[in-house]
Amino acid sequence: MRKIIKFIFIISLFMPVSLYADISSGVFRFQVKLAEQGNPEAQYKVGEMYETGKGVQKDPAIALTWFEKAAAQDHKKAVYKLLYLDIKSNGMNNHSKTQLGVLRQESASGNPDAQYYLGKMYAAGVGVPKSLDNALTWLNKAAFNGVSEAEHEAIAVEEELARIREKTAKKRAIALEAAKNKKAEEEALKIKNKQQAERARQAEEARLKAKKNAEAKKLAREKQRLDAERAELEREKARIAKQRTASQQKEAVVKESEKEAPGKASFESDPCKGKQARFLSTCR
Amino acid sequence: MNKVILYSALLGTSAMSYQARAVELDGYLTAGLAVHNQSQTDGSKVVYLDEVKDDVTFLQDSKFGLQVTADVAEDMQAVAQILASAEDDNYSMDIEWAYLDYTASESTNLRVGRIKQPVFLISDYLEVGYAYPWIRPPAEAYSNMPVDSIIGVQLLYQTRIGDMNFGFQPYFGSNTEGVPGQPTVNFFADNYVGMALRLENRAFTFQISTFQTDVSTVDTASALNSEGSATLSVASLSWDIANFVGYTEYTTRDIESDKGTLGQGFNAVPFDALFSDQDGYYITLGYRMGKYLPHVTFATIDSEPMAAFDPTNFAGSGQPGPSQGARQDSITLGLRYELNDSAALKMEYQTTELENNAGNLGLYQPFSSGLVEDKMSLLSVAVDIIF
Repeated sequence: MRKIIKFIFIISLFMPVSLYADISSGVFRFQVKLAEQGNPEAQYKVGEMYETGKGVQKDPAIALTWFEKAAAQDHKKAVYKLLYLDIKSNGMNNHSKTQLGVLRQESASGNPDAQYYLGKMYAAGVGVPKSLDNALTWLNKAAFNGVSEAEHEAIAVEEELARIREKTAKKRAIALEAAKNKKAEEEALKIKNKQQAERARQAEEARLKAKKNAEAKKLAREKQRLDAERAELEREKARIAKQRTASQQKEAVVKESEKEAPGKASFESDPCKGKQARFLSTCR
Repeated sequence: MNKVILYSALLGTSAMSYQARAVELDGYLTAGLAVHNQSQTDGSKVVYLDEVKDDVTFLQDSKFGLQVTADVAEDMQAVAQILASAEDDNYSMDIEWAYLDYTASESTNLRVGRIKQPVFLISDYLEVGYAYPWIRPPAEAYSNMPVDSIIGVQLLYQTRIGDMNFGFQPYFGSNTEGVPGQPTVNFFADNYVGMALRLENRAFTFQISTFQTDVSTVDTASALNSEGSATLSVASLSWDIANFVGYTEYTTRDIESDKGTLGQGFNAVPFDALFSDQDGYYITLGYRMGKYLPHVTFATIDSEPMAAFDPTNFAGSGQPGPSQGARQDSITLGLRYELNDSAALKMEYQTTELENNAGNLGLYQPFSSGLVEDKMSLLSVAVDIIF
């Protein structure tokens, strides 16, 4: 048996491409025949072949008609496919919301196809927020339950996830480096600012000290000047007081001499009495 | 005049440097005339004192003085008295005194500069006619001292003893002056040392003073030179009791070792003395009657003969020289009338009798012949003002 399979395999290697095309188109014709007979699975298959262009010319519109025919017979995969395409093309509406709720319930209850499409929706962000982790969870479940497309899809999601993670890691590393550099710059700036502040503080302190010294010297000089002025004032006061006393004494002497004189104008033999006293150097 | 400027500058500088504070300016003025009736037998005029002749003159007694007193510091004064005398080159100004007075204590003053030495009773105010009763103080006493002031230092100490004031004034200095009656003679007084003691109360003033100085004379006209030392002592008393006013002073001058020469070189003739010893005396009695003060003064000056002097050496020279003693007596009748409290009118009539005109008392210009009259009458009128 192994020899037969090996033989077939070797023979197939030497088969021309047109032969593969012929096989595919044969499969297509076979499936179309079944689909036209009302087989929902065949209808779904024909739809996929038009969708992917395997065995027939790719035509999404015709593919959609076949999916609708299959879904009309409650073919679950077709139903899910249509839901996926509808949301992807038209966005969410009330109907699709209801359908998506059903899809979630069936996925949770273990329907592999529902799990596959829910995973696919998470992977593409169709009808739900894009989440590769959720997509991978549901796709792995579907693959575990036998959906071969889910396995491929899961691998693709994992690869994307890996790329994203790598990219994220790089970004994080860059951000980290940038943050580190920024922090270092900030530290350096902080130190520089601190040094500048310290220098400014020292300069201000020196200026204030110099100002204080200058003010102290100025105050000392001012005090000295005021003291000198005060002393001069005291001397002046003493001199004025002395002059006043002398003047009063002189007036008293004049009054006394006038009192003693027999007449206001009479000869005074004492030269220190009367007006002539001004000319004497010995009169007190 | 230059001296005036110099002293003014000195006083001004010292005063202004201390921001001269109180500056006091006082003045006095005397306007007086005098005339006598004496003349010489040869027709020459008799010049008595400095200017008095038998023609009326205003030059003898007229004068004007200003006294400036500035407070240099609290305890220091600058005092200057400027005198313009008619007899001295028609009112050319001269510094009578100018000194710096430092009050060392309440009773002690120290003076430096040109000072008036306290020899006679009124030496301190000799030029201020308003302060005494006469037109001029009796020449018989006051002419004995040709030096009016000295340049030097003087201490004045005054204190109270009981109800008396006591004053003590020692001084030292030197000066140069002309000799009254002998205008060509310059008189130099060096090492002038003297003192005065004064005691006074309300009624009496008593003073004794003495000084000694090295003297020398130079006569520019006759080359008559001499040198020696002179001592002058004075006792003074004044009183004022119940309107009786009196002054009396006795002065004696003693010339020691007065030697000199007449002429120069080979022709120089030596002699032993040029100035004689002299005594002077006066007494004034007055009675105050309100504005009037009539007074009478008796004065005498007596010059000793100079025995060592041989007049034959000077025969025909015509030079003066007291070979014999001389004496003059005078009587002065005076009246002082107070015009107001700053002015007084004075009139005096004086008779003098000169016993021997061959001698020279320092009161007259040299005589060329005998006197016409035995006695001389002198009439003086003056107004004294202070302001």
